[in-house]
Amino acid sequence: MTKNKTLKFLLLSLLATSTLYAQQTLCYKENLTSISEIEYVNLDGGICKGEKNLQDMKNDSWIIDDVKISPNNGKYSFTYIFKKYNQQNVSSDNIDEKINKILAQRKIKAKQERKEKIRLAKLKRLTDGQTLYENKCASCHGIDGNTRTMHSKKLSELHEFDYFQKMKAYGVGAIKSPLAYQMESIAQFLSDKDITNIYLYLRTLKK
Amino acid sequence: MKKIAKMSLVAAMAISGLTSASAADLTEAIKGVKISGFVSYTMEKVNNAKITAAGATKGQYSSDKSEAQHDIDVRIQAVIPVNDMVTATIRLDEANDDDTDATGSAAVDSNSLRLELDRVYFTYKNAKFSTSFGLMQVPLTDAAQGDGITASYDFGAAKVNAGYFYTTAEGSDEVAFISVAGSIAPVSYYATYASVLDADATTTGNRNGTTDDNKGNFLHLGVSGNIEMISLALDYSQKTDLSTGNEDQNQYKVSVGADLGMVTLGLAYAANDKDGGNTLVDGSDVAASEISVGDLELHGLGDASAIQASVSVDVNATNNVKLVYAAADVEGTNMDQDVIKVTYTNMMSKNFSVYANYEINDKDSSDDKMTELTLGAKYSF
Repeated sequence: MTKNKTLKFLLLSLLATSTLYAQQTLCYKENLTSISEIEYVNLDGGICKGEKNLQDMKNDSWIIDDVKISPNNGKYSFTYIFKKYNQQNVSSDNIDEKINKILAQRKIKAKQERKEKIRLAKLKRLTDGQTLYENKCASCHGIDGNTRTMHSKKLSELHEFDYFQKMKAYGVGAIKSPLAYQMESIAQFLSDKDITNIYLYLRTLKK
Repeated sequence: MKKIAKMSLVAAMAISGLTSASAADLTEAIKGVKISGFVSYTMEKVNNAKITAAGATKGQYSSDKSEAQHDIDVRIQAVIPVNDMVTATIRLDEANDDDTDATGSAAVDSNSLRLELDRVYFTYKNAKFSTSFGLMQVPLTDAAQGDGITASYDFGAAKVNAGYFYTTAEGSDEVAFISVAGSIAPVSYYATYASVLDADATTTGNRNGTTDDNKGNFLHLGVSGNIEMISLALDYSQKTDLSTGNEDQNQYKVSVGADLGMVTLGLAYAANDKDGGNTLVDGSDVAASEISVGDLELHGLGDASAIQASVSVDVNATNNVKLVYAAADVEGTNMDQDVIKVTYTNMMSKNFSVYANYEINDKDSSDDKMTELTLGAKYSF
């Protein structure tokens, strides 16, 4: 919520900035003998037309957007770019509407990005699970998880509870069977994440 | 620095002490370490119905009218990533899982419990290949320890394991083995061959009553397959005894199962040859060709066969009830026996279960029936 408010404030500032300077004018003054002189002489060009000095422009709500000072043989030339916000052009309704639109677009984009991130993460876990299954399990339990080794249940149909119980038990050598030592040498080196990834892959094999 | 810190943990755990490691070193050292294990406590109450006095020798099962004991098992395992390719595995285990201490007495207090280093080995692995070196499990045993080196490679359609143990918990025997397991849908198969190259005369691997060493060659083969919900398996095992005067051992089993969803049915028939079916390196009862329920262990009986029927019902996702019946027929003797066993398991949560077993053992050679009630709880982490 706070994050949204901050975002809204930033957007408002950004939007306001782009509309505040809707008007622009360029004024200049050449060949002044000192820099301080620019404070009171009238400026030429643009809206200044030799009738307004810097202070007059400021009083009329003009803001200095940029200034260039060019020294030449001990004299100084000034070029000013002024900008002014035209308040009548941008209503608060318009701003809110635009902000809401941008926020909604960003929300949709963020949601899509999150979905895509989750999809890619799931895909990676499935791919990891498939690789592990094919390298460690498929030789005995079948590439499709449907081969019953010595009356064991099909891995593709094994209940989640059974699967995790058995993997844990095999990993610590708690199951007595002739081929248990082979399972032990596999299960003990699989992390919890690996075991879950294999299970996620097994679920895709269920007919 | 990181590698040194992790190696420090290996060393520290190996001597069961972490006193020299600073807190910062320890935090760094345990990063990525997979700690797992379990704690279980089981109460066991055995009754021999027709024995009238403690210390009598009337029955075949026990000299006591009744005995009660516990079975405590504690296991803690750390798999430590030493670097990207190498891990160190350390396992501490309560060694007296069978209720007895080193002298065979009932373990009724903490004096008989013994936490030992059960596994200590390093493993190098990549996607399809791995090799381990250290104190590990010996194949064709009931998790017996051995010191050696093993390697495995997954070829896709088959996984091959091979290894050599220069000494084992079964004595000073050297064991070499190779095994292959795989599947060609819908059929899966396995084959393991092990050779005990040098036998220690004091070992007691062969349980056929004629010898006390386990020098021999061991072969286990199995094939199983399924069509829809029905699965069928054939298992065969043999020991070619290399000691003069000892008999070879053979055992086979045919079994069929039906997975009906909530209900699983099983039926099996197994038989030994005339000299017995003791085909494992440590003489235990975990061969795929074995039928072992309660007090009935087929492998120790010469010229014998057994059947086993079972039904397992998943009452819901966390409750299971299993009923097993097994009967052994021994040729020409009155050693026939049968067993009924009921087991109830409740998985209270993913890491905690409670269970109850009740079994009735009956032998022709005994005029009493032995019953056993066990109640237990197990926490896994």
